[in-house]
Amino acid sequence: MPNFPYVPINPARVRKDPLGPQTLNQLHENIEAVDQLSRVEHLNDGTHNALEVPWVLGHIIDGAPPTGALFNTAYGGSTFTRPVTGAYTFDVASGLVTADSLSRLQFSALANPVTGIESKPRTTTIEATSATSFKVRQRELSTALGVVGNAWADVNGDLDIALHAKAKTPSTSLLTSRLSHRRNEYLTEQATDWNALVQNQATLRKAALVEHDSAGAHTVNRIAKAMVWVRPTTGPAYSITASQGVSTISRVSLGVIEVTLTGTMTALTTMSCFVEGQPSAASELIVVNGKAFSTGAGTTKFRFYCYLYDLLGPGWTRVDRPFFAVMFGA
Amino acid sequence: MAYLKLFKVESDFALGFQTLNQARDNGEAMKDLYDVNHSLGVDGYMNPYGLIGGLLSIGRHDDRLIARTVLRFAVDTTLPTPVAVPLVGGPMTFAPPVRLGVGQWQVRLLNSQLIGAVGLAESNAIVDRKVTCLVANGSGSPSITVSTWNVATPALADFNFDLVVWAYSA
Repeated sequence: MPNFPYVPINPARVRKDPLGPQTLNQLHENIEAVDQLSRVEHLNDGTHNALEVPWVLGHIIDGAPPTGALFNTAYGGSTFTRPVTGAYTFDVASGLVTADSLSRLQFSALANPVTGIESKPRTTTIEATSATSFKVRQRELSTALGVVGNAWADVNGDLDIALHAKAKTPSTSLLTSRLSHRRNEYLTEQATDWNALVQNQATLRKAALVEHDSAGAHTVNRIAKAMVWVRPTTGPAYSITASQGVSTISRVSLGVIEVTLTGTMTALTTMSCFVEGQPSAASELIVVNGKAFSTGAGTTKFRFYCYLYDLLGPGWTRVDRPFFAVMFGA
Repeated sequence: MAYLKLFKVESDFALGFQTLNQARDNGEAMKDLYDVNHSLGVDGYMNPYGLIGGLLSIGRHDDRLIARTVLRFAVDTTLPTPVAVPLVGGPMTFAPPVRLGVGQWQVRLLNSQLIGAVGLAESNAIVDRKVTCLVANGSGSPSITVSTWNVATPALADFNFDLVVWAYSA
């Protein structure tokens, strides 16, 4: 956290205003304060450095062997295998996932099955096989929908994954050290410090623009482009409870919901989502899966499929339920 | 404020008020850039001695598109009453999970409003596992009721799980 606040320099200077050392020193300190703030959750090269921003994110494409479409491959995703049906391994950079004093790995992960979810529910689990290798298992309901029964089997298919790990040690500042301006000094005696101010402003801005645009919006694909919380309403239809980056939603059919984004994504293989259904009661078993559906301006869409296991009725069926989803893409 | 790169000097140079103002505006532009999606404190000027806005410390992401906290729990079933031990957590403060029953936990977080949580089951060769999350907002601390299922049975069961939680300040 910054050690000192940002102090606005007001009012703006006008012709013949005297220039004192305090103004120059405040200009320096303000940039240094923003630099300290930036390094709370960014490395000094501008990369996001936070537990909440996944280090490894993207799409595992099924195949023999599988391949990956991952963002930020510097931290993982160079090697994929499919040792048995429904199992996918991927690696992460050494040192990304650390262990605590009891040798418990410090990570958290999400996985989302993609293939075939229009027809049947799928589930995923994750296992860390080492500090540099993870395995995701995928299962699909074998029993037909609407039929009594609850059989599951390993199945191959594309997956979305997100791996979170603890932030790295905060970076040291790249700002040029400088002297404080003193009363009665000519600016030219400290000309190098004027240059240090100019350089420091440029250094800070260059780092900021690595993963933000000039307006401050995030431009990195490891940060979601959209999120939505929806719930069924009378109609039947769906309504939005909370959202960002979403243009419209529509109920395609029972348990099938389409979300259209305001932004544009260009390739299905670089689009990922993670979704969680919100059951009517904690004792209700539902599965909600999601997938990238289409690309293009005004037509970038994800679809979500909701399933319910009816303990008193005919097995697994489609159902309308609230859900929360985050969507990533390039 | 618009950012404009300033010039360096190599010798005596008369520094005009417009240049000073641009240097001032550059600082404001950088502060404003980070203000869009990061907490600058309640006063917006990173006062380390002031109140923290939205229970976020200065510099933390304050963005609906970034998870507010990431959690990982190891469920210890060796005790008479199993407990969920947090292995990973933060930056949003959360209370230790309360066990509601086999495979059911209530995770209470300190924030103004929860949007949702996505869970993932951890497995050690047992693969028919699923996590569901029931989010409850309202007065007091919002909570997530986590149910951990063995879908093949189906029945609630105790096992390790991960949660990624999205929220926003009021």
